[in-house]
Amino acid sequence: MISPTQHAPDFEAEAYAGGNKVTIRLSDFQNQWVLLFFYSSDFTFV
Amino acid sequence: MAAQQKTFQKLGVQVLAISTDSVYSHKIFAETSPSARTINYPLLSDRSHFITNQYGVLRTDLGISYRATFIISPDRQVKYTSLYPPEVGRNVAEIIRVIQGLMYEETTGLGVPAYWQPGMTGILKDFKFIGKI
Repeated sequence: MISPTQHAPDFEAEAYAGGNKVTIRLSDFQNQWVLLFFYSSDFTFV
Repeated sequence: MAAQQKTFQKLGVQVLAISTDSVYSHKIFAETSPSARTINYPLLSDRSHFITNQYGVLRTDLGISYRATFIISPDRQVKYTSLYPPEVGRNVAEIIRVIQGLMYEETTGLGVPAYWQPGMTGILKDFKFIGKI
């Protein structure tokens, strides 16, 4: 698992956002705090 | 997480949710689930498990991720991680407090103790105070 103080690896993923299918990269959010949270499955509690 | 979207917006935090589901599943989830209908952050799809594996939070037996959370600073450094058990949901208030604490430390250089809440003063981290708090 990635640990605190480590560099966050960049990634690129398909995403559902605002009704659309888009491509999102971590690098899209330069100079911004990012909260990245993994959840097991849609339709389950987060 | 969805209930606290305004707080994250105010703090300028970009929320990204990610699971190994497809974007098609994400779409129906976002359209139909009462809790998901209010979500305004992107739902990322990691069907290949590449990203989940890269972050080290893949349950290989099930092809799904652990309930993992990462706070990433503007310079792309991981500042906080947590792994919750599958049985228990996340404490979003504490995640927000950690982000606020990190921002507070960044501007003031002061330490952020366990009981700290926004509006409170932090503590000096100078070596001479070691053992005196």
